[in-house]
Amino acid sequence: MHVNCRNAQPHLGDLARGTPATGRLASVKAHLDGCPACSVAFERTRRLQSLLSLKRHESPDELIARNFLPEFHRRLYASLTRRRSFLSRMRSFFEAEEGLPVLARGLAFASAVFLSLFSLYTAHLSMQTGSTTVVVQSSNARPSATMKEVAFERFSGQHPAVYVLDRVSYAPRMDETSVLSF
Amino acid sequence: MGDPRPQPPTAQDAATTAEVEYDRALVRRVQGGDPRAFDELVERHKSRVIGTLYHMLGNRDDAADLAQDAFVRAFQSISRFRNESSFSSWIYRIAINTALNFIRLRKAPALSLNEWAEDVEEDPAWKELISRESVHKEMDRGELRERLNEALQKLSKDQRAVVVLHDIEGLRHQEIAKILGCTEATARSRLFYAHQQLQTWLADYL
Repeated sequence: MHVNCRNAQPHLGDLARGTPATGRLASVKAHLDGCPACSVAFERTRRLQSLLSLKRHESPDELIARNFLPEFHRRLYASLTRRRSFLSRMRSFFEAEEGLPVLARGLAFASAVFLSLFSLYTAHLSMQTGSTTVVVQSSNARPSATMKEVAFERFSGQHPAVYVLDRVSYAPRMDETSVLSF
Repeated sequence: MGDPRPQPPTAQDAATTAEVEYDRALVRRVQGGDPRAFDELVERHKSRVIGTLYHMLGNRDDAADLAQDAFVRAFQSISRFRNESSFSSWIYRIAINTALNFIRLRKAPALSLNEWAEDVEEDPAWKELISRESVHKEMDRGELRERLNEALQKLSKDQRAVVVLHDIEGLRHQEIAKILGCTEATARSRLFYAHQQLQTWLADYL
């Protein structure tokens, strides 16, 4: 593969650490031999990694290491005997490191929420019947409808609907009766 | 019932493969109902986990605290662990995620650093550092330690995780990608940009 400065530089860390130069790294190494800028970048990366490796000498306190297991037992016992809130259990379920992927769990949960809300919405719509009705018959009725009524008409086609009187502003003519059908 | 008690790997074994298989046997024992096997897993991995968290957080007390949380979470989830990846990668993943959540929620980092062991002066990296003319020969170790940790804390938490796992813990990109849940290319890219920033902040020592 052709190696240029742009695609060589992300691999300098591997070379600087002494990873055997095979495959792609061999191409990167060959590029370094002919590119002064990348050679300088390589040297700076190597020095940086060498500097960072000194942090391995910052070892944890022996006291922490010695008391670790007893403290772990204490915390484990406390966690097993503590009643966990619903939220805490849900959080653990979604944060599990293996098993059903997080995305699948999220989608399942979102689907359950959506279905619940949709069921509530359709139940709410069916509860619209049974409210106070006014039946007025008129072929020329032209009530001024509210936005809710317009939306309902759009989605439900020719299905008749009954609305609470105070949501419809209608002025029938004095000499006739009308049926409002939406 | 369950596997017979496994023998610890000998010095002649290929260390990594043998360690992974030994861990797997311990995990099977835990999943089979022997919680004491988990104690052995804790003993085998606690130093690395505490060390990784310490380098991520720059605070030894927080590191110890979160390491405990990580092992408790691991024990609570051990029945769901499929033993396909190594236990080491898995516990690293839990520890790093714990640290990332902690960093996200805390207001400001509070450095609380461990001293460097005396044998740092025997490290070839140290000898090379002080041999360079560009570096002050009377450089204070404490000052270098603080500058290193401050520079690490300035990185984004995702970049810091890659630097800690790659440059300090010595893991390969393939394993780092599994631990962080990203692609190898993403891990490399984060490391590259992190190095660029660190080279700027630590220019006096390079």
